[in-house]
Amino acid sequence: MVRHRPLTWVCGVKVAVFSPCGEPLLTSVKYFFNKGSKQRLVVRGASKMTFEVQKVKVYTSDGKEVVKGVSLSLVKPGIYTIMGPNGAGKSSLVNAIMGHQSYRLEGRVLLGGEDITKLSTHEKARKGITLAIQMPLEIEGVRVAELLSRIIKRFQGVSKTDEALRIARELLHLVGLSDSIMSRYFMVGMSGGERKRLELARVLAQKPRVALLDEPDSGVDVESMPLVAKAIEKLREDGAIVVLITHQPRLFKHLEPDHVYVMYNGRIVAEGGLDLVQLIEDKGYTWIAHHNGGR
Amino acid sequence: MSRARLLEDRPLTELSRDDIVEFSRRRKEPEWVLRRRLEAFEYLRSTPPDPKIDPLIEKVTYKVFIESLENPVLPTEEAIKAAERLGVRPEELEVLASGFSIDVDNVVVKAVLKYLEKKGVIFTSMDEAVKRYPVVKEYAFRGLHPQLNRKTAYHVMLWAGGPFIYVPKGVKIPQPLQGVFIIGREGLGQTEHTLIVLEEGAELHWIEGCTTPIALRYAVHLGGLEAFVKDSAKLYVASINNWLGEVHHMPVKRVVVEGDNAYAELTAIAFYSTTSNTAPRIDLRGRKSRGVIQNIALYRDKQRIHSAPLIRYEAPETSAQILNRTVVKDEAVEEFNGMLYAARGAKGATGFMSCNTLVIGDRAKSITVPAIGTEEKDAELSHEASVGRISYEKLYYLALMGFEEDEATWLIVNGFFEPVINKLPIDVQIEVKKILELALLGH
Repeated sequence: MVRHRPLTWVCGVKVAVFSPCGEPLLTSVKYFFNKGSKQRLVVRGASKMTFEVQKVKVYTSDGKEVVKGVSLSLVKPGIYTIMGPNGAGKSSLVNAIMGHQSYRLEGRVLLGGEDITKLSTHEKARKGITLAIQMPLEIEGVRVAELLSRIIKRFQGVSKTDEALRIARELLHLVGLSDSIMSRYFMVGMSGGERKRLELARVLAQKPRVALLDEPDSGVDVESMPLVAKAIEKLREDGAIVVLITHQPRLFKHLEPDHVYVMYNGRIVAEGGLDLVQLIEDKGYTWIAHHNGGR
Repeated sequence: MSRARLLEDRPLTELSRDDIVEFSRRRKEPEWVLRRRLEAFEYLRSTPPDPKIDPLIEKVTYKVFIESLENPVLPTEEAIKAAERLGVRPEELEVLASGFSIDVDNVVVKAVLKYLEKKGVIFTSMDEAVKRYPVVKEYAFRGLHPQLNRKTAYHVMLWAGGPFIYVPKGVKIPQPLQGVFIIGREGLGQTEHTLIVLEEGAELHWIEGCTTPIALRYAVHLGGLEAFVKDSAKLYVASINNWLGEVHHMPVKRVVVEGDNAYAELTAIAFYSTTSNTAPRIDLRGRKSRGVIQNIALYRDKQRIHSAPLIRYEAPETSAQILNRTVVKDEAVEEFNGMLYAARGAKGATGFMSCNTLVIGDRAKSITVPAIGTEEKDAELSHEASVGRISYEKLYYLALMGFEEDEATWLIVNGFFEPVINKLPIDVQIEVKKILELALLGH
């Protein structure tokens, strides 16, 4: 359920609710009276969110083709996993989608039907798509509280700092981080596991429509794995399309993906459900690639 | 043509001995002040011009200089706005012109003055102080003496206005005292002189803000600050400079830490000037005394900066730090030549110099040459320097969070300064953050 403050009233009856980036978010609007009999607006169901990657090829700055034509059409919220060995092109694909300068992308990327291929990274983020990077960077001198509250204010339409900080704390608790982390500099001196969880809290703070997660489980210890899974689950609950990159099946002890893709040598070579994960464990990526004709 | 007229058109570098005598008489100064001015004049006459100093002072005429002193700019709306840019609330405003004056009609200021008076603190303008308080003669121009260098000599020869603060034995002033110096006229050479004397066990935070209400076509800031710190006394000075237009910033500063276990901290926060030539100095003369010089600055456009802080150890077991944290962007060029020097007698002196620069863009430059010198073999002095750039990866990472490049740069720069700003008095922190935001985001 998405709940937003109405930004525009028309004739006192119709209401238009927009996401922070100006996209209409509503399909239906219902009113009800709460205890104080004050009228409140409840918004149910976001607009049909789709994320499409059409015939995408990705080249590195020295001209090497690392993604050789990938198409995905994700039309409902869920966890879509891309698995594959190192060097399959998974990270290149998501970073190229977000507009990293080291890559050149051919093909189209559509968000809710809109072509966002040529937008700059921050514009894409503001449209509701973001990426949890594999190795979160330290932002020296900027406290977790400050960064998260700025993000929450922008993406969740919160104007008061107190409220933004409250939300930030909730998100940190969700990923198993304590309040004390709020006063620390962003990612500075944190362990691998803490970084990964803070990165997920950051992504959650953006309330993305599409969350690309690049190996959120790598470097995370066994005990923290359920927390990582919980954060990803929360994204799905919030109605996001989650593209989860991993090459370790261990995360699926805590999380059930809606769909699994196998990427090998720059191509999607297989897709399916959890049974495909079992097959990967049994036979390995190379076997799958060769028995699916390198599709 | 009358003599006076000729004098008025003359640049400050070409004043004669008679001109100085007349200048001092106009100001009705005691004889000893004139003597110091003339010593400075003689020193200037006997030493060759400094290409970094003289050409800039030459552009200011005596006429403009004297006019601004005798017809001070009143606190106009623009001046008040300028002060607000430095974080000073209008009710605290006590300014202006090139000097320093105290607005006694102001309720807040009155209360503060009454409190200080009760404690035996003297807080008045230097113009007044040289006439009224014998203690001034004992200290004034002993640290910034006329033979120190050409820049100091110009300052001593031409000084006018500025505050005198005397804190008696054992008095700790709880709130920072603050002064604002505003260059409000074209071509002005601002030459305020700040003199601070802290007796045994005294404590003072002095915050000085220097600014211009409007973008000036040309101005020179040649202010001076000298301070004397006795046994166990603590002095904290923060200077915040935020200039607009073509302003050449060349202040002279020297703190003499005379007492044992005394402490002095000089912080300069600079956000804009066309050129800046600074060489703040602390002399540690008391046993176990400590000194810190911090420079926090954002240089941009075509600024040319030369900073050469110096801490000189002259007593045993003294310790010191020089911290230089700067951001250089656009086509600005920074040269840093800090120095820690342990003179004979500074047995067991320790010190550390840390220079960190963040360079934004391809055309900005930073040249850091820290120096360490010692005449005592057991002195332990060290330095570290780093020059870094804002990486693309960091900008990309922040863009993933929705920050566009300007905002991301501002966040990174803020973060770069944070560990240093964080230790300043809260008033100064707020001011600095406000100025930074204005400088980087334009709002």
